[in-house]
Amino acid sequence: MKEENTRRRFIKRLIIGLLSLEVIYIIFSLGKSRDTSNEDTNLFDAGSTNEFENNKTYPFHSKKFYLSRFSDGGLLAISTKCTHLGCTTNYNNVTQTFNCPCHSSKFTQNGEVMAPPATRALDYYKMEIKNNRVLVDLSTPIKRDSHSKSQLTYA
Amino acid sequence: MKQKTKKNPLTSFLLHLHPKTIDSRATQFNRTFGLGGMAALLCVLLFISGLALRFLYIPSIEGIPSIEGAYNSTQLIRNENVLSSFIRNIHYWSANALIVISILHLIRVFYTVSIVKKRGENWIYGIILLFIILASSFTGYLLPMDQLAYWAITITSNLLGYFPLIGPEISRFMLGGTDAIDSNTLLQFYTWHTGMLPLLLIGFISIHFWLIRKSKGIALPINENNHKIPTNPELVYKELVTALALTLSLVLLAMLVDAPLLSEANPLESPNPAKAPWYFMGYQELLIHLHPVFALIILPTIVLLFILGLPYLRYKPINTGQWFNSVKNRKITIISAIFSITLTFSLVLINTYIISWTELLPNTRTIITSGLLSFLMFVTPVFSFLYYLKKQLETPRIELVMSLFTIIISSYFTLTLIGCLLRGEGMTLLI
Ligand code: HEM
Ligand code: FES
Repeated sequence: MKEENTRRRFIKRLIIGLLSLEVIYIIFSLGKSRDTSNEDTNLFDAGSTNEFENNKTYPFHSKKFYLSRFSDGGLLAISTKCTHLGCTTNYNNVTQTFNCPCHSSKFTQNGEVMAPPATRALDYYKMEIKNNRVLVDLSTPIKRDSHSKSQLTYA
Repeated sequence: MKQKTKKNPLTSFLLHLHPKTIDSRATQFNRTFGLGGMAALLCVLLFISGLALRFLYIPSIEGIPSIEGAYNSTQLIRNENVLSSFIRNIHYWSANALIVISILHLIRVFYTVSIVKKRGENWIYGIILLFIILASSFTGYLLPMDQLAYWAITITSNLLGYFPLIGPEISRFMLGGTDAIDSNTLLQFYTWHTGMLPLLLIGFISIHFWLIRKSKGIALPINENNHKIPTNPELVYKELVTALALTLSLVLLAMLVDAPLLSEANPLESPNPAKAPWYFMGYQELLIHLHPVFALIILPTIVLLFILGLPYLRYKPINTGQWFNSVKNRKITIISAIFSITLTFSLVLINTYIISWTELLPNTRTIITSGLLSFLMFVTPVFSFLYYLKKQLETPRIELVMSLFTIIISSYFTLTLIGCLLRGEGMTLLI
């Protein structure tokens, strides 16, 4: 009897073990990205450099970024996606802040967190300037904790 | 029932949910307020209207499932004819009522201390039911793919991404294996909402009912002398009246008030303010004040462990079935509720207008400032209150536990009210 019991127990555990492995496998494979798009650069022509005045922020809603130009002429393409939980921020021209309508995070003009709950600065996009055209690479947003001068691009 | 008259098998099955005779006190309306039974009825209404909606909701365009198709189909259900919009409204209002009723039921069960021994098991199954109900509501309001749906999915999948290590995997799993909200996401939610969750609901309701009978009916105080009466018609009659009244109110509501449908999902712009449905507004309000890791992991884990542990805390003088366990306890409950409402409300104001830890300590990590420090601002007063209570009253465990439970529930209630009523454009506080 005892023999039987242990064998049964063994088989039971084996089955349960295999099933849980299967479940874990399924969950992980479902979690894997089915996205197969290749990470080519995706340059977007935002316009000519002299269209953008210093100390102003221009919305490119359909491309999900804002183009900010600072007092020293540096340009930064800032993602509209709030780093808290992904809502679209709105730029307020008066206060010069990005405000999120979901949990009221606020970001300064260069994307740094001004008011929580957001935990890091807004993402930005790589940018190059060729023949005076502002070309924004929309393929991958770049994560950052805070703002630094090195993220700016100059004409 | 006299001799073996021909019985309808359905009737006899339903009557079998009850014992033949029942304690007369169990049928008093204010014993349970009929809340569990109402929840069961609402589930039935949801199943019927949901099945009908499955015939009407066709989330595709020319056979290809798409977000746009989902929205168009919902719009058609809403506008095409009175019957289809009525079915949708019944489904919507029943779902909302189910949430109200299950929460009231949970509160009733807790404050009548009906959560020990066999009933403790049922408390656990009840919590599981509550989660199934919330998950059903969530997956349900995503199906129309309007602005509410789109941004709720976005927020939730990003929130899940804050789980350490496996966050991104979980969030992608939720979206149906993609990084963006698309037809895969829609199908995933559809399958959960119309397949998996209803199945789980039926299973767990069956266990729930079975355990009620196993614990010999609803909880009653022992000291009164009991007197048995036939279940049919004494209880069945009251149940029928309650069921009819509830159904009638829902029918009226569904005829008069249409279930909302916002504009079509627009990935480029969030609604302003972007508010969750009322039952999640308390949580959204919490997210405003607390670092995501605390709001997603630490706080819910603590609360869940407390709620699930409630039946196992070995209370000593316990009067199962007695409202608030004792008269003194009722007073403590009221004081705790007032304390919690005041504390929560003040902290929301303080956090908004007076102290911002992130501004005071700009170089400290946010998990410390908007996480730990904000968390402590709530936890410290609560534990001081409980400590004071313990010193003051030399109270046994049940009173402290009831007090803490009251504090948690009242706090969430306050957050819900603030979120629903006091937040305007940009989610800024209106006072
Ligand atoms: C689909 C949702 C639910 C349905 C249909 C349901 C149904 C019922 C019914 C019919 C009763 C008999 C007493 C009464 O009517 O109050 C009952 C008792 C009970 N329910 Fe629920 N319930 C649901 C959800 C919950 C939840 C969310 C909890 C709490 C976590 C819970 C915990 C309990 C407990 C502990 C009892 C025993 C109470 C006693 O013996 O007095 N149930 N339920
Ligand atoms: S998503 Fe922007 S504040 Fe929460």
